[in-house]
Amino acid sequence: MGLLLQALVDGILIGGIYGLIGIGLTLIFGVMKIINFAQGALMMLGMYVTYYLFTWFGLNPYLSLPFSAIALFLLGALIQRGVLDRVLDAPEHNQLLVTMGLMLIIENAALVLFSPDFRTVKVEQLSGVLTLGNVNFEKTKLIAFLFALLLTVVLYWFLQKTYLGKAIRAVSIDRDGAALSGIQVRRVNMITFGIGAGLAAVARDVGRCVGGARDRFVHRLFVVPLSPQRRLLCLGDAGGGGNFAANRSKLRVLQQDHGHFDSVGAQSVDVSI
Amino acid sequence: MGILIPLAPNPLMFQFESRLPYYYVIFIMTTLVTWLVYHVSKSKLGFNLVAIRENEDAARSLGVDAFKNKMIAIGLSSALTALGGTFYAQYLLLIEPPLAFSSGVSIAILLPAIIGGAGTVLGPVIGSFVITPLGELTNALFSGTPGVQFIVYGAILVLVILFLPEGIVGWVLKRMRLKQIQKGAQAK
Repeated sequence: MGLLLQALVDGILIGGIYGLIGIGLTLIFGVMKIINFAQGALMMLGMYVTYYLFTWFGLNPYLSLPFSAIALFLLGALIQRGVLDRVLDAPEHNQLLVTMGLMLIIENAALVLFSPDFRTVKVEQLSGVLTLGNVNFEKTKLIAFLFALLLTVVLYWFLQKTYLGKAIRAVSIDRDGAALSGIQVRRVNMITFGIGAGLAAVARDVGRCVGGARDRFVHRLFVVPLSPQRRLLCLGDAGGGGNFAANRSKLRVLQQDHGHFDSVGAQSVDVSI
Repeated sequence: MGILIPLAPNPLMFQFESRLPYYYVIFIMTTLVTWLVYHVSKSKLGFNLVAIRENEDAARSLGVDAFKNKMIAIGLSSALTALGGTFYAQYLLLIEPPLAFSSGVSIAILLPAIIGGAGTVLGPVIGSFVITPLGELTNALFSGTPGVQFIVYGAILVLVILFLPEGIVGWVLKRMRLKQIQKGAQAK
């Protein structure tokens, strides 16, 4: 019973972060009708922003949130203006392929620029566990969950109440109709994609603290240029709270990564559980 | 990881001592498959498929069995892919998941078709003659840094879809058709 409850709590906490990642993706899909394959790659870039802010300036990962969000917002807006704007009316498969091309560019640029090494951020004072009955709440997971919840509420308010939010919803319902009503559709598209990219960065920035909690005392951040599916897998699996099943799945993820790196011909990965 | 194919260098086992026979095998296979696809495109099946692509409802109203034709098309496509897969397995003598299912493989298959022109007979052939040397070249130039090849692939993918969405062959065909129309207009 205790184990079940624990698993449930862990699942709900991590689900909140998945939700935040998903909102960024659906926002873009809802307005642009484009499935953004590069979302995972943008997430990864957000992680690197956090990592470099931490290693260069010693900035706490939670405080670097606005920076990674703004950086990714600008990059997202640039991608929308430069690339996606031109394929909005193209056939769907071409739209998919464009975002796939973007994913290839971003992921491999990261591979070249940042190397395929694991990066870790250690913030000792943020670790710890709250215990309620016989259920453990990891502090980082709890913070991440609450933050995801807060951001979702803020976003909902933004979309429902502000002028820009209403414009975004109008474009999502009918692009031509919105344009005829005087909404600057191109600008709305740009802002939407920017928000979507920024959300990915933020979600990952928060989620990373969870994904990094590999042991009780040290916080670690793993930033690896990987395909988005596998990165999501890492995010989901690496957060296990010290029980056997979670550790085993962690190992499995690392093994998968190991294979991946071997096939790339790059450095092997340090497996330490 | 993966399955090793037992070593038996014997033409009957589709294994050769040197790489040259492999070259001739794949050359003949490519030529035959291109010939086959060309004839399919000129056959009733080919016209049925084009009709379904352009407007499925209209094709069905004229008596084309859309479901049957689509099944034949996907079966044919899978069979041709299997030819390539068998060759690849016998050439590398190793089958492993990243080799067969990774996104890199999907992109390597996709890119020639998109660049050459999807929906044309010669498109994938011309596309792979363009993209493969380019990939090898970037590999040789930046051999120290893995990933550059895929940056180039990604950039080409984006640029082709932005500026040449119907591919090289599709673009040439469109130009030729346009010329013909202009000639017809002048003749009148």
